Amino acid sequence: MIKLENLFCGYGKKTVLKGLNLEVRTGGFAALIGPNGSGKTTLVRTMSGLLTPQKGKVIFDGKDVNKMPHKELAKKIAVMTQAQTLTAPFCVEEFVLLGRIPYWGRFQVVEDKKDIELVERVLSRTGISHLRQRPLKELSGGERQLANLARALAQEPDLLLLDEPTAHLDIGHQVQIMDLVRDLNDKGLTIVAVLHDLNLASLYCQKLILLSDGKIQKVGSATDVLEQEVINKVYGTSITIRQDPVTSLPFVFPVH
Amino acid sequence: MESSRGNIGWVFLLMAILLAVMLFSLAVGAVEIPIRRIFYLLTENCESPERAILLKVRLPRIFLGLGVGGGLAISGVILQGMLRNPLVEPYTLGISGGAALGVCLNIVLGGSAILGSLSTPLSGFLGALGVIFFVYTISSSRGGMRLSRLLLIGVMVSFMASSLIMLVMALSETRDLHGIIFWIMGSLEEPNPWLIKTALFVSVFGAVISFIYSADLNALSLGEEEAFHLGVRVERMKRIIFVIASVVTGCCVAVSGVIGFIGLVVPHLMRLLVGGDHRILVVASFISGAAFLILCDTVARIIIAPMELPVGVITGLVGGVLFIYALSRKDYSF
Repeated sequence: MIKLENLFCGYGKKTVLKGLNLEVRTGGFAALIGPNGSGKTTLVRTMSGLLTPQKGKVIFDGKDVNKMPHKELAKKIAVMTQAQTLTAPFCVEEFVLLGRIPYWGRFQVVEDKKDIELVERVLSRTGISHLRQRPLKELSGGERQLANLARALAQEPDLLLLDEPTAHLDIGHQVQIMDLVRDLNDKGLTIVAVLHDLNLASLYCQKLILLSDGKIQKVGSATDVLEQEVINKVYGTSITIRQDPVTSLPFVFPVH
Repeated sequence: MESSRGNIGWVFLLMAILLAVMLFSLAVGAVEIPIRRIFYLLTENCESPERAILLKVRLPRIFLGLGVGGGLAISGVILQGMLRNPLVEPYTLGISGGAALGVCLNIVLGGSAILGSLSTPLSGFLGALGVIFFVYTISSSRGGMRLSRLLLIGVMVSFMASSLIMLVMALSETRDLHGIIFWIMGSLEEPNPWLIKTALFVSVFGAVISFIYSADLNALSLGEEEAFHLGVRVERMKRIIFVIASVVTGCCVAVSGVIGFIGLVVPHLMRLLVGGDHRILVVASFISGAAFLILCDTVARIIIAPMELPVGVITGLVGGVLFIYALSRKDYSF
């Protein structure tokens, strides 16, 4: 589905990502983990085609993402960015409808019946149908993130990139969003999510990708990646890892 | 969607208001003409002084008001939308300053001796074009057009232009000063029908292009990165919006002078009324900008008749009061 080939990328002369090779298969659910500044957001921006690699390629379904037409790309890959600052003057319904823009021709400015049905569907899928007329800026953090997810789904993507979907959310909303995302994954949507919470990553994702200083440190299942020594070294802290009694997945605890 | 359907109602209402304002403007003045008689005079082909007043004096002013008011309003809407800054108006980018400088130089250097009455709009438009080109070149780099830079450079160019205008005025004679000041104050009085047609055509054209790009503008109001993810060709679109807003504003200013406030106030009032969806906002702003300017011009024409106030006085006062009133009534943020 999406493949990085010897990828170098950054901003201007600065190189953030240093030679990444990676593949996420169709239907996969991968978590990007790593300390602040390790290049997670930059990687999302590169995978979405926003940044042009300094070297190497991002291949999506056999095509170089930087050579795909913008609209084509937006129909295949949807990105949910860190949207806490979202203040555009729209109501939820108008906002979600923006996800349909990639499907509109140059001279289309008004939604058709299919767009309306789809918006309807993603609103109920994300459980925010009742908020449709509410202005975005009146929403709580959790509701806003749901609206953001609904907009990404309105793009009918094959790949969904999430940049810290659970940041600043309470535990209830964290689980709500992650459950929704896992449901979508079960239905066949490929997902790559930047996650700060290692335990959420362990709980929900099939594959963890540990980034450190722009390089991939380790890729694999939660049990493979979440090893005490590796995590301690990469994050520069001391943690201990125990097995979750219910799921028998590794859980990370900070220690003083 | 429900909300947008409700808003289309607003567009029809604004349209009705525009027509009413146009009729009112045709009816009042030194010679009062009852509305029923207006229809008669406009439809029947008869010789009468009243018909001449309607066709030669009042109608051209209305058409120019339509073009300039609508044009300034949509330029304001699309620039505010693109720059995501509520304080931007068409003049912020220095276009009016450039035009005014052009006209100033033309008056002082006596360009009208060579080109006649066309020299004023021409020099205004050239001044505007010069500034547009300058601002565009400086704020573009290899990575594309940087919007924060565009805004700052526009503001600086405005200041530079007004300093230069002051310099020119300080060095010029009293007779020229009068001409400069009157031009800068702005007026819808324009004897040349060709110029009126041009201004009207350019601003309607600009409105159509803005409407075509209105869905993309909605995407852009989330930010450039988000717009890219929605498939918008951001760099190309920024350039188109900038050029459209600049050319429309340049034309309006060249023909009618610096009529202030419309490009700032009308978009905000319309956002309060119809919301942030540019697909409706662009249309509503064009209609109400036109209605607002025609109304202000009519008031300026009759309030101290037979003298005429500069229309900018009315647009600023009425617009400001309306805006503050609207702000205090409703919880509004950009």
